[in-house]
Amino acid sequence: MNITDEKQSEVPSNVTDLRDIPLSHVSDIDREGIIRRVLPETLVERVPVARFNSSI
Amino acid sequence: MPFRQFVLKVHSRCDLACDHCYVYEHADQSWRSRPAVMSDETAAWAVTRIAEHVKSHGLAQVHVVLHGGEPLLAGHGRLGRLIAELRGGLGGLCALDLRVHTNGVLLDERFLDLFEEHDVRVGVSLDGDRAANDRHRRYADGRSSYDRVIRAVERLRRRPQLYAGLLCTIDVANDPGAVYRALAALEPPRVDFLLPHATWDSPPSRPTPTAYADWLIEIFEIWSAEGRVVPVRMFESILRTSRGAPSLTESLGLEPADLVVIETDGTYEQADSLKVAYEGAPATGLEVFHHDLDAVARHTGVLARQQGLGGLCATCRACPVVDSCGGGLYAHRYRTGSGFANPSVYSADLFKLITYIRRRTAMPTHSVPAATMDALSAGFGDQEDVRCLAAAQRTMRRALLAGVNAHETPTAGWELLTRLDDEHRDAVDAVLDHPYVREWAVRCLRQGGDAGYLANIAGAAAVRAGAVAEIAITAVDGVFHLPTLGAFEAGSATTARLVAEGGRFSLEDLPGAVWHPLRRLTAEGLSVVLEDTDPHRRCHGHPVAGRLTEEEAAAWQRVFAEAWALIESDHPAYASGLRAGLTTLVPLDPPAGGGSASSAARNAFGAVAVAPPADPATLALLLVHEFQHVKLGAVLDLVDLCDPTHTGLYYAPWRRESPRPLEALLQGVYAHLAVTDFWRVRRHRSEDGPGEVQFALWREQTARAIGDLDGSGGLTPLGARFVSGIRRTLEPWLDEPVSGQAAAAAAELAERYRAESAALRR
Repeated sequence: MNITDEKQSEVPSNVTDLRDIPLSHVSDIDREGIIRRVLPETLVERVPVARFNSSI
Repeated sequence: MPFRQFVLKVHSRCDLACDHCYVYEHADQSWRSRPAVMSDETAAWAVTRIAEHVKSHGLAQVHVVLHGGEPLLAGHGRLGRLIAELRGGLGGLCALDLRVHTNGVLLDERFLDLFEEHDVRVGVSLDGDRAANDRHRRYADGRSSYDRVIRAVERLRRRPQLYAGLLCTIDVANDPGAVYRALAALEPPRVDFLLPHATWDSPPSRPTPTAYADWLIEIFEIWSAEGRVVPVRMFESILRTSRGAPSLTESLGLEPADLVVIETDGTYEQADSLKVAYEGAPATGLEVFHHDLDAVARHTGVLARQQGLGGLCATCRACPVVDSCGGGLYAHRYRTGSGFANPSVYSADLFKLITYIRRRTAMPTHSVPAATMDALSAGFGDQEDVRCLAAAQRTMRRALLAGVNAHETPTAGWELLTRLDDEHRDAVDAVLDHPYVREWAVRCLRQGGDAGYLANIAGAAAVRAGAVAEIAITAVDGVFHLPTLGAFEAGSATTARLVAEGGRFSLEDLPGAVWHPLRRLTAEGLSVVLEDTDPHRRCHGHPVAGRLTEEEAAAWQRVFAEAWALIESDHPAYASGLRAGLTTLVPLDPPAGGGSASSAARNAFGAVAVAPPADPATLALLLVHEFQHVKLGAVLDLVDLCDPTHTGLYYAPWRRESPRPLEALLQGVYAHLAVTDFWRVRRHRSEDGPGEVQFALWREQTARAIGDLDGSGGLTPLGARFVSGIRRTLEPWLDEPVSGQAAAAAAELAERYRAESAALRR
């Protein structure tokens, strides 16, 4: 049997498991990732671009 | 791609003589031939060019950074005129995010007054503690700049609305801990750690092969241990890009560059950092007096920085951290001969740093056991399978709640809830598991909800925890609702003070408020909430019933118990999943035209809304039907079954008013698989006359819709696998015999539905 024919035992999701994360510690990244998934229309649509930062 | 970031070089000279400065100390020496200061005429042209660019591209917001040299050398008067010109020229056209980057030594109260008047935020360059800063950031005569810069930052701290952050150029000879702590002590809204500009031709001073990674990792550890109090853009960008979100900085990530520099003489330049590559590297040959910004946007150098992954060398494209690194800052890739088609000169550092942060912060994600996915795709799913979906819903609600809080100023509700979350997690979980908490949070995030209701959620959790609490709660739709408990009638009051202790509670200022406790419907092995108090249950597309009388509630109890007995005896394949996931039944008003009505809402996992059914069998059918939507909605929360960019619309015989998007068609198929199964069993019961016709009708219609799903080209590989599961369950039913009369009646109904649909679309 080809190894690629083997069935995956888990179907992965990209949703971070927050059940054991205290509410006060839910990170912006995880929060936004889930909101983007559940409510894509609520996040301001903007073309992501490289943000300037340069010291002088 | 239009430009949205504009760096205006308002003064090309500097009052410091930092020996690491990329403007004066590297390959490009074009500053020598430029005017020291941007003239009013050049500034006016620059603003005109930006304004026409905003208009022609319909830009909603642009960012302008006043830069140098040292921009404050332009003086109060000239800088004031330029800022006023920018606000005047762009203010009516788009949102303008206006900033100034300064070394800070000249930043006095007069400048700050000017910046306050025109809403200009200030970033200050500071390399850390005194020893670190003075290693490079000195006056030409060798004097330290540290005290003056610190005074400037202290001034900014007194005007926090102007304080944009600190920019620190790394020197690995400095003590990373001391640098970080010195910067953090100044409470900046953001810190940028910047790799000193270098190329393969002129590599950075590096005592070990990954000295910069090691230096940053030391800070990352302190930053993490101290609760990440100060936002560090580099670390945040690595964390974000590691989870698929965009980078926050030009030096990381694959996002295209949309930045242009306008020099003091009006010439357009590409990225400022290119000055380290070679003489003339940033030049475009274009200027504000004769060329618009679209001409600059077509410049090959500008386009080269917008190619994302495709613009990187083969080594970078094959790298496992390329989505975070993005090849590093464009300028840092330069090498004579191969130009910019190289990894960054900091490649080894970036690889080590990103890999380290990823390993250090790996967060578990949800997953669905393959066996659960198979059971669900077959149309069923037992207790364990549905519990797996319910577990992920808890994550969703926690994220959404945190999202509501992030959009509001911190409230007493959030404070109480987070305290209870630490001390009484079970009580908080019980309240957050209430289906309509998510509906409320979604409304808030869509700007349609009352964020004050967070206090009601916290109050309910306090009551359930038996904690002592006092909090002002909010009336929504005429009630002070406490999720999982019930509601007080609010009358004309909009807020009330909830006092809770030892599980008892009251409204201190409305002692006479009528309390409507939640009631439950119970059956053998199942108990669900009869939800007629939560204002957020109004999300089912049908009018909900008001508070039921005791008689009405008793009638629901009778029909529910009988319906459940019927599900358990005749449709056991659905009973187990329902037992694990059905928590709430919302009574709807009877439909005006008669018949039945039922609904599941995507943001209310566990709830089903139903109008008073004709009989227990109808309720059993509606519960089974709607719970299919509940299950599939929860699957879709976790994984993509349909390509979100697919725009096809499809006929759905169960929703004849308009063609349905692919995901809605899938939802209908999934529900009608169970409807078919219901009638497959029920048709053998003599009391259900139309059962045979219903079975014949829905098996055919579901099969056709499965064909549409298969042929749509809009299913993801997982979606195709899911639909295969549905098909495998349905296929044997297509071979079950039905009478010719029933088949004909079903065909006639199917034809009538198509005709109705066509008529409605005309």
